[in-house]
Amino acid sequence: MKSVVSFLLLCISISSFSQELTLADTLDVELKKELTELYTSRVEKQQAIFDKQISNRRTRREVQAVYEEMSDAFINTIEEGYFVENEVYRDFLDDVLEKIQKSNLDYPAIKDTKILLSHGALPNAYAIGNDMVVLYMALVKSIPNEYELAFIICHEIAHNLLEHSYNDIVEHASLKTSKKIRKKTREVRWSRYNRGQQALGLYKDIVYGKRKNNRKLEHQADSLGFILYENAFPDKKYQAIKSLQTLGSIDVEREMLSYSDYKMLFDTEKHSFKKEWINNEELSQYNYDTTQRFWQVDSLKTHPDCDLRIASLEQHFNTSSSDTVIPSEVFTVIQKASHANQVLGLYAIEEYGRSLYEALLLLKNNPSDSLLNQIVTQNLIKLQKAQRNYVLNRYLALPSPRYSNSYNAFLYSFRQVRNAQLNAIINKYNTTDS
Amino acid sequence: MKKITALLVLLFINTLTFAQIQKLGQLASGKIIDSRIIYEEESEDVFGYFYLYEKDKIGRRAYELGYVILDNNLNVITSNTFAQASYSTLLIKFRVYLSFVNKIDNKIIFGLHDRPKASEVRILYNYFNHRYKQIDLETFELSEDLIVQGNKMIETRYEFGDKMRFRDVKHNQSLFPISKNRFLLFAESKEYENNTSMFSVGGRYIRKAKEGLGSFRILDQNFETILEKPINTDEENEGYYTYVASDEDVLILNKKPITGAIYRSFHLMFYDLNTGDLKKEFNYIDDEYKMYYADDIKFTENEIILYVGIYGKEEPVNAYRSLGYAKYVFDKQAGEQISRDYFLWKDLEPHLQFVHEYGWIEDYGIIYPIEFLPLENDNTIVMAEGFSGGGVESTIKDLFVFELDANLRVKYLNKIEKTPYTLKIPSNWLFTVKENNLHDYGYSQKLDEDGNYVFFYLNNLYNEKNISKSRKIKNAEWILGIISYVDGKFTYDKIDLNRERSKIYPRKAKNGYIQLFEIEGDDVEVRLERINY
Repeated sequence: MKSVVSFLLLCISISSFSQELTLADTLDVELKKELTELYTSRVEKQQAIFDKQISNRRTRREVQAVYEEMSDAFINTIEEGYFVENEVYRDFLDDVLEKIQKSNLDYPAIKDTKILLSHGALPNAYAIGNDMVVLYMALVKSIPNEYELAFIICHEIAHNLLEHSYNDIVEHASLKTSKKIRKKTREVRWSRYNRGQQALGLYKDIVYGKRKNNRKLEHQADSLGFILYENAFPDKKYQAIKSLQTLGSIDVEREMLSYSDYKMLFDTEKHSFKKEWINNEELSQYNYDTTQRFWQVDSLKTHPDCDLRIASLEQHFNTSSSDTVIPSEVFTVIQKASHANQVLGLYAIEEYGRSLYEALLLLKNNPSDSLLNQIVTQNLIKLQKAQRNYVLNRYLALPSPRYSNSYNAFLYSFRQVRNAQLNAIINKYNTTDS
Repeated sequence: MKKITALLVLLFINTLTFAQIQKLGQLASGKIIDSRIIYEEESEDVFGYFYLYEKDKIGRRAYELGYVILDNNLNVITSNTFAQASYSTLLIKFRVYLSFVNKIDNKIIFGLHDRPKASEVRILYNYFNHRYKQIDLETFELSEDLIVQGNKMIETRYEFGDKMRFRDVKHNQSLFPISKNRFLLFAESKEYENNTSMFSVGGRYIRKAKEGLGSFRILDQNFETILEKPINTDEENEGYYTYVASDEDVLILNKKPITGAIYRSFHLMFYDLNTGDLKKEFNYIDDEYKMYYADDIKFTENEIILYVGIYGKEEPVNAYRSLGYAKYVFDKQAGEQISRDYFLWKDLEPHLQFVHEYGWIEDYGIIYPIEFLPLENDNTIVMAEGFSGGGVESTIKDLFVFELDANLRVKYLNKIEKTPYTLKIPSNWLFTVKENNLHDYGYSQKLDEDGNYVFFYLNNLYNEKNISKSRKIKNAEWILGIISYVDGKFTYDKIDLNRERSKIYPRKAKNGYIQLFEIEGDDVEVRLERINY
C-alpha cells in the first residue's frame, strides 16, 4: 500500500492529456474515516427501522444478520480504497444532485443522497440503500454527456427512494425463514433418491423468481428515475433514452491494440515484439456450448435488456424530443480525465493487468504522456513480480470467450514474453520516465 | 467458494445465497468422482480437462452422472448429465471410474468402468462393465452407451428401472486408445467364456485368462476394425500381452511369457500398425547384457528410441545390481536396430564416485533414472533419484539432473538436495516405485516449440522422524521444484506450496504452464501460471 501511495503521489501533476486534474488520495485516512462514519450512522438508523417494522422475530434476526454482513462488506470496500474523492468531480456531481433535488421537492429524501465515485473495471453504477449511490469511473468515462449520466443517477436514486435494497433483504429473509421453504428443504434432504433434482428444481424456482422480481424493480427504477430526471431536465428528456442506448452497447470495445501498436509500445533495442505473440489461436480452436441445459439465461438476468427498458419508457412517457446535446466544458474535462483516473484506480485496487491494458490503449495515442508512461512502468513491475511468485493469474486474467479479441490478444501476448524481454521492456519505460 | 467441487457448485449457484437456500444449492450440486486431462491429438499438450461427477442418486442402483469439460484456459466448454446403472452385491460396493478421455477430431470419447470401492477386494473382474460415450464438439450431443462385445461395438441405452446383471456386462471388452485416433482391442479370452463366477479362483486362473487371448485388433475412430492380428497361436510361446506405446506407424506390446520365474523378462513386440506385421521381437538380451523392461520409449519420425536398464548376464535383475542403461535406436520401417549405446555408472565419474560397478555411492545408495528425454540434437536429459534401502523399506533421496550427449557421455550433472523419505517397499522392488509414481519427480513438458523443456518435482521439507503418519501429513511443507531447460541451459526455481493460511496443489497444464489450486479453508482459487523463463 505504501508503494501505491508513493506512486500515486508521483502522479500529482498530470500531463496535457488529462488536463489539470489531480486525483485525490484514495488512501486519505480522514476521507475513509468520514465515509465510514457517515455510512455507519445510516446503517444504524436503518437497523432501528428494521427492528421496529419487522414483527416476526426469526425474520428480523435474519435480516439483521444479512444487513450486518452487507454493511461489513461495504465498509471493507471503503477500507480497501475503492472510493475516490476529488473537488472537480465533487462539484460537478453535487451540482447535478442539487438540480435533481430542487426539481423534485416531493422527494425530500433526495437531499440526503451521497454519490460516491469508485474504482473498478466495469462501467456500472449501483444503489446500496442508505441514500448512497455509487458510480464507477469506468462508467463516467464511457458516457458522452452529463444528461445521460444524470439519468443514470436518477435511476439509482429511484432505487433508494423505492427502498429496493431493503425490501430485497427482507424478502429473502422471509423466504429463507418461511415454513414452506424449510419444510421443503427438509423433505429434499431426507429423500432417498433424486435429491439433486428436487433441490435444483426448488432452487431454480427461487432464483428465477428473484431475478424476475429484479427485472421488475429495474423497470420501476427506470420509471421513477425518468420522472425525477424529467423534472430536473425537462428539455433534455430524450437523453434518458440515449442513456439506455449507451448502456446497451457500453461493453462493446471501441479501441483495440494492433500489431503496430505493440511494436511501438514494446519493441526494445535487443528484442522485437513478435507477431505470433498476438496470434492467439487458442480460443478459436474451441467451440463453446451455449445450450441452456441448467439455467435459462434470460430468466437469470437481473436487468431487462436495454431495448425493453427503452420500449417501456417510450410507452409510458413522452420521450420524443429532438434535443441535441453538446457536453459542457466541465463534463468534457471530467470525462477525459476519467480515462486516466480509471487506469490509476485500477492500479490502486491491484487490477494491474486491466490497468496496463487500458493504459496502453491511451498511450498508443499519446506516447509521450509521462503519467501514462509511469502507469505502464509500475504495472509492468507489479506483473513481473507476480509472475516471479507464480501469482500472475491473480492480476492478469486468462483469455476467455467472454473478452474481446483485442483484450484476449493482450492477455495472451503478455505471457509469451520471456523474462529477459520483459526486463528490457521495463527498462525502456523506466528510461522514458526519467 | 467451497472446495474444488465449487467448480460444479458454480454451475448451479450463481446468485447470492442465504443459509437455507445455500443448503438447497449444496443439495443440488455434485461430487467429483474422477477427472482427466484431455490431450491434443498426437501431442502431449493439453487440450482441456474433463471432470466426472455424481449428480444424483436416482434409484437403488442408478445414478445420474455428469461431466464438465474445460478448455486449456479453464473456460467451460460444455457440461451435461446422463443416467447410469450401478452394480452392487451384498458385500461389495462398486463405483464408476474413468478409463480414458480422448479427443478425436471433433469428438471427445470417454470410457467408464466399474471397480470395487475397496482396493483390498481382489476379484477376477476388478475392472468390468467397460462402456464408452462420445461427445460431439460441434453439437455437444452425447451418445448412448457404447459397449464392445464379441469384438463388435453395440449401442445400449439405460432406461431407469433397468437392472444390471453381471452376466450382461462381464463380457464387455475394453478398448485402449492408441495413436492417431485408433483403438486397440484384445479379443475375449477363451477362459472368460467359460467362467460364470465373478470371484477370483486364484492367480493362476487370472493369468491363464489373460494368456488365452487369441488376437488383437486395431479399430479406427468409428470403431471399425482396420486390422486383426492373431497372437498366442503357438502354445510353447504363449504369453499375455499388454499395451506399451504407439505412434502412427508402430504398436509396441509387452509379452510376458507364461512360465518361468517372476524376473523372467518381457518381450517387446513391435508391430507395423498399417500391416500388422511383427517387425521386431526384442527379448531384452544382447551379446553383452541382459535387461528386464523398457524404462522409456520415445518415437521420432523414423526411429524408435528405447532406454533400458542393463544387468550382467548371470546377475539377478535388481535395481541394486544395475550396471547402467542402454539406448537402443530402431528403424521404424524395417524394425532393424540402428545403434546401441551404453551408459555405465562409471561414466558418471568424476561427477560422482561409485564404490563398485553397480552404481553404489558410499554412505548414500544408488541413482535410479525415472525419465529419459531425448532432445532434437540427439542428447538425452535424464531425471533420476537417489535411493537406498534394506529389507522392506526404500528411501528416496536427492534428484539428479544430467544431460548426456549423443554417445551417452555426461555433459552436465547437477544434484538437487531433497528431504529423504522412506517407503514401505522392499528395497529390491524399485520398479514398483516407478510404476506407481511414488517418486518425487513428476514429469517433463515442452515449454514452447523451440526445444525448451520444463521438469517438475515435489519435495516435503518437513523431516521429523518417528512421528505418526497423520502428523507427517498435517505438518508437511511441500515445495514444487521447477527445472527449466532453455537454450541449452538449466535453471532452477521453486514454489512454496504451503502458505501461511493456505495450501497449494499443482496439476499439469498446457505447455509452459502449471495449474495451481490454492485452498484456504473453504475457498479455492484455481490459477494457471506461466513458467518463469
